[in-house]
Amino acid sequence: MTTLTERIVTVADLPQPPGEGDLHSEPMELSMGPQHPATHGVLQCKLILDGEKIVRIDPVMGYLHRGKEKHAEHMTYQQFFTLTDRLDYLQPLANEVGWALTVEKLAGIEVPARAQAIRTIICEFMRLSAHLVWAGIGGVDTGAVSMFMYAFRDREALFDLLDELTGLRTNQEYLRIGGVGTDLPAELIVKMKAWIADFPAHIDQFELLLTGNRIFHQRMRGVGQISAAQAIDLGVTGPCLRATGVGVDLRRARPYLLYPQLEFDVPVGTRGDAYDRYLVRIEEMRQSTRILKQLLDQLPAGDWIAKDWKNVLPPKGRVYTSMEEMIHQFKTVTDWCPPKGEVYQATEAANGELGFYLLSAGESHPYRVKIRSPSFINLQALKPMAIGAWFGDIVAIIASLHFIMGECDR
Amino acid sequence: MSPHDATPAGPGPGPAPVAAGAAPRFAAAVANPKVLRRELTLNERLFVGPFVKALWYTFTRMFRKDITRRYPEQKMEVKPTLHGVPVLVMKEDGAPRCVACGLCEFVCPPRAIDIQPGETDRPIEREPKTFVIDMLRCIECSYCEEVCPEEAIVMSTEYEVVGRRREDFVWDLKKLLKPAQELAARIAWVRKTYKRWDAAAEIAPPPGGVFRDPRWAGRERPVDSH
Amino acid sequence: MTALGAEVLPSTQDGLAAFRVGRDAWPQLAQAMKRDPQLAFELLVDVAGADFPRRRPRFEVVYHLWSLTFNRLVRVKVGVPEEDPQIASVVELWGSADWHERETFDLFGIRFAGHPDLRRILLPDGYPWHPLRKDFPVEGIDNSICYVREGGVLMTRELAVDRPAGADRTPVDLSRGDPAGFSDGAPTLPEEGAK
Ligand code: SF4
Ligand code: SF4
Repeated sequence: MTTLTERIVTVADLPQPPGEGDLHSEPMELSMGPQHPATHGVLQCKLILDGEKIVRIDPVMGYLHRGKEKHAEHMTYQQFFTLTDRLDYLQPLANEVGWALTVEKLAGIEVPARAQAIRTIICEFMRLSAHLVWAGIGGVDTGAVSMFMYAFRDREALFDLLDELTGLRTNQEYLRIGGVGTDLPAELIVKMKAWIADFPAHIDQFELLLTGNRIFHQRMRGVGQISAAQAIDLGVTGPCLRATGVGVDLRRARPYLLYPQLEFDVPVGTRGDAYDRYLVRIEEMRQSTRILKQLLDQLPAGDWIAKDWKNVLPPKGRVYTSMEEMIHQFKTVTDWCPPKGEVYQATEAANGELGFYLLSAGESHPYRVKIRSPSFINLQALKPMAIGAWFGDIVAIIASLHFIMGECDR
Repeated sequence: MSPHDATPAGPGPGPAPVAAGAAPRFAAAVANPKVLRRELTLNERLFVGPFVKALWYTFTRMFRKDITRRYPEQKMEVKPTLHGVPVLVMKEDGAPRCVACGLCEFVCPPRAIDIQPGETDRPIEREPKTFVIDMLRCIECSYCEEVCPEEAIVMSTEYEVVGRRREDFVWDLKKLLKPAQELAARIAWVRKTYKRWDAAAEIAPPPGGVFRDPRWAGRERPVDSH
Repeated sequence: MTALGAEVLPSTQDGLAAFRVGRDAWPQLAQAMKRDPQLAFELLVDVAGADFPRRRPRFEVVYHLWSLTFNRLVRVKVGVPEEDPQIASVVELWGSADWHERETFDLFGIRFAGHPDLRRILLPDGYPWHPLRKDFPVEGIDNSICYVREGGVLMTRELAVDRPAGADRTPVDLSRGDPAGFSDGAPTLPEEGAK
């Protein structure tokens, strides 16, 4: 019988400290988190320090594990949207888009152009929302507390827009299989355009506060540096990978939605340190506004949900008045079965490649869902980034990596 | 089939597949603009200039209009799109429109709804004996509203649900039933939105709060077509 | 890749090139996929387990690999039998496999031979079950047990939770874990993945 004992790294495992007379101290074990304000959620980092240097780091996670993949096997496809919302809770709608694309690919549903455009719009808004939180929290972690206020000011205004569209500020449950929940009304487009017109100036203000700030420089530059080869080996995606100079963006590499028709750049960094990750994200915010401008200026007309009698709920008026549609409604809600098959669909979320691997046995609920969450994989890079760094840098490293524990633990 | 002729994943303009062998590593990186990574200027290194500038920026914000709200006194502007807590629509006679079909109970992702159906002698002979929504579980997703075939459950504008004990959050029929006039804005929104692509599916106001097939007009109960 | 014993699978809805390979041929294939400049799958995107209780072999580990050089995504499936849920680890080739494999071990009980540090990642250490297996009920088993560490040894402790008598549960084959022999504070835990 095997015993499952935890392998705990203890001080005794470490090489002995240098001989007497040396100023080196003994290695020290330190637990950071799970309720540390700088670990962004419930992550525990078991650190072993040699003086102020980190010699070992062991992230402990799972505090937020809710068994989403197991739950998915017992929910209908539409119901699972509510759980994807709570993956990366800074960009709920982007997760929903990822799941919607997966299911639609499985069932072969054509999504009308307007719905696709609305989805692209909310994806980019979500990227902004996630990057804004990142900018705010990253500012706080490196000592720029007022940054938090400015970032959240813009995020609140952004959420006001989404609130008007979806009815909820966060965890919106807005996506439907085959389209979106409601249309994007014309007056809201005007408001969105106004917000976007203002926003680049606000990014400049963030840069005024951070980019040229000497303290910020000293906290971020050369900290948590990894090379491109290392990042690829560790499966890092998203801004953290692009900061190392690898210009891989799924919006370009495996395009989805309307991205092939849009004009935008994929900024890359040069050195792969925390400062580059900051710069890349700031530039991505600019590119997102650029995308949003293009989309809002020429939003295609048409339906916002597929005219697909087999896969989408029938128009309500007909449900009220005709028995066939009523049965149809019941059938679609309770027993909508996509064909057998399997699909892997990835989207570029704010933190990297958010993939859903879906196995369907032709039932009304998925057979198996694997969520490839970018935060979980990117978090592996914490080890090479942190080892050898100063203890004080770990906060900046965590801030620049930007993982969301809701997504890590699933 | 060898993997060399495997289709590159995804259609459209990705980085073009490069000829094998001579492939530059990470060819995708070539066309990307590098972010500007500049050294600090002397002014910035001296720190005082940018420091004062940032302080000045913060100072000027003091004279802008407030963007925050003084919440309990100053309420949020309520729009019909808002998802408050779900409530039941009351017919004119005070009974719920709901026919206890159980569709909302089925679709509710956190299983917040619990319905016990019952029978009555009225023309529409089914109604819920008990209808309970646990507001602590409800995530206000509006799925119940979207699937209800009777327009019987809609999202209200009530977003402040408070209570002292857990039982206060379990709403029963008495608490859930709201007269249709109160919910008129949301009902209008539901009708407009869930027409979906079918603008022709115009819904006439239901006689007596009950939807019926026009073909059944004048009959108490639908005649079985078999 | 067919030369290395991989069988081409019919394409599915997402049109990815998919292969199935035997458990024994997998390390060699993985080696080639990473190292061969004609293949150059630099990035291990995802490792997913899947459980098919009525199939032989019962488990399947699904790898998604991405070649950045050619922008090509493939899926490789490796079957793992229930009696000996073990497969070669690919941590040597792709560093990202580390946590992926720990997760698959955690949730499916598939062991990865050669993994440097194979322990649970999402669930508490010492948790006796592998919950993504199909015979694990969605409501969980024995929520009344918590795991505490006493003197470096993991122990279980009963929580005083009042569960209504006869609360409905999906019947489940409990021979996989042994909750009864578990609550007496014995420091050994049920055998991992044992039937
Ligand atoms: S709004 Fe959603 S969670 Fe709430 S009762 Fe309706 S279906 Fe359930
Ligand atoms: S879906 Fe509507 S009619 Fe059916 S039980 Fe729910 S509220 Fe009642």
